[in-house]
Amino acid sequence: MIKFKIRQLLLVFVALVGVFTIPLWIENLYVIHLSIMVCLNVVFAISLALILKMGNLSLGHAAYIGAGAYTSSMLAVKVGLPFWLTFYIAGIASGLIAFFIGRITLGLRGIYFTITTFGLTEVFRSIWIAFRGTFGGPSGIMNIPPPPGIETKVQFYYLALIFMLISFFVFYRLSKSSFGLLCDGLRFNWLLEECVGVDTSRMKTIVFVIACTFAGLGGSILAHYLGHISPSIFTMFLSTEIIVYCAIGGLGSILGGAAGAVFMTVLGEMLFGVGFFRSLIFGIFLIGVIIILPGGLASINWNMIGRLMQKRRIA
Amino acid sequence: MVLLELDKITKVFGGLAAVRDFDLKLEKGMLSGLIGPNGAGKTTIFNMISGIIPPTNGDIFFKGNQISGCKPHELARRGIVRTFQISTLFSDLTVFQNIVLGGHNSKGLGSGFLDSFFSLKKRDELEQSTLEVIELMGLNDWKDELARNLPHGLQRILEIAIAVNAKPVVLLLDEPVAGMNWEEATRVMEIINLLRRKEGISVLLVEHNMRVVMDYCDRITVLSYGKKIAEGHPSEIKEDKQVIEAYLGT
Repeated sequence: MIKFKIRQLLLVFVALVGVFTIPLWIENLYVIHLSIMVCLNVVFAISLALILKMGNLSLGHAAYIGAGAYTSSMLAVKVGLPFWLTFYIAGIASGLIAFFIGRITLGLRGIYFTITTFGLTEVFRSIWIAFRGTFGGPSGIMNIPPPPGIETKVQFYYLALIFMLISFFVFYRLSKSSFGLLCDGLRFNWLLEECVGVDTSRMKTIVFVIACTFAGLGGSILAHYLGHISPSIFTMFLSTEIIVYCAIGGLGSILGGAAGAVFMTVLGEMLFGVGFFRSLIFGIFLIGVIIILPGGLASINWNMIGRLMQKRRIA
Repeated sequence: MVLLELDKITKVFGGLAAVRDFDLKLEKGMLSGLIGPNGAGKTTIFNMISGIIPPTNGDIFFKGNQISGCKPHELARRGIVRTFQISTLFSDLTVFQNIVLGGHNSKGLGSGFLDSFFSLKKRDELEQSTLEVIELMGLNDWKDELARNLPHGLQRILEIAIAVNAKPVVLLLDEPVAGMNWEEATRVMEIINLLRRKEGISVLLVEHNMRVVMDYCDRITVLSYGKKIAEGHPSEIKEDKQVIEAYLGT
């Protein structure tokens, strides 16, 4: 079915064994925490990458993550539903919101779509802040119970990891299929695609709903992991940070989005010590990548690097 | 048999009638030409037939069914496929990918979605028809080249190839040989004739190259200031006083 070369298959296998055994050879809980955040950020990044792949820049990804997080934690805290139910409801809720908003806004082209998504993030945040009774106001929702049976960080890590791997498989397969090719077509020339018989508005809605559903699912895990969410988490900054992951990894590439998320999350944590300079270094790094590698990490030709290194060894 | 029929269509842009009470009949298997000076409304008519803009007034019939108001993708699925005046391609995709994308209409969107999880048979079918189109259009040597790297003439041929893979019944070509020399233009026209013979496609063509129009079209409609001023066989059009006036001025 998938035509993998043996070497690639081996690489994937080694990587899988590697990520599954992280808790065995690292006991530092901080590293485990970092790994959980990496997993969730990867899901956020690859879901946004699919939206970017069809040529829409969404500044509102945080809103859908937040919608999932709020849905899940409110159902858990106020209704008392178990995580295994709220998790799916969170995804469906985000997907439904994406469906209705997508139907309205996806018809807008280019910058106009981006502006509405930006406004939308603020609308969501304002709603969460304004309705104290329902959403807890600025302080948000506290004491969100962890999923039953998942109490330690290591258990959480496996939950996040499996969720990430499933998401990655879904998005990667989508992007490599004819569905992904249709997304590319939308990005390069939506009118031509429409004129050869593809229902482009339906196509866009489907992509948007799939991406936002996974963002919502990720938001749900995030909420139950943190145990406390507030409107200040799901702001423009989160949205932009996810865009930065995708930009550094290579816009529109699923693999790139994942790589960018891993790289930048780890880099960001390493830079926490330098405080104020963190955003400065982040920014400079982003500019550097855009200038030197406009296609992002995904555009690096690994074969070429391998050959270069071999040549050097000979010399 | 009349495939496509425009019945008194009018398009008004902000009070100005770009096309007024325009009639047209396209019969099965025909190569029909639509000519006229710049700004006569030819592209507007194409946009109305392909559903990009709705006519202000009048009806469009395809195989006897009223189609004005349908969206472009619905019309493409029914068999009305167009090309554009300016090269319109997926410029950063390969020639093969471009043509594959053209073929997605008959397969529908749902299958493309399921395809991603189960490699279904349909995909092979699509690849097969794509390879056939590449062979037919003579693009074999350029299969894996990015569309943007193709010379102008081949880009226009690629455009037609994308449209052909959408399995059209009626093909609308907006200036397919613009900017080509006679040799290239003949090549494109021969391909179009081949398509008519092999696939039974009917063609409506907008073109400024008079020699091409006169040599290849079965029937010509002349448009000036949004109105039809003449219609008939190329030999009749050549002699028509009004046409000469419209083109040369009084």
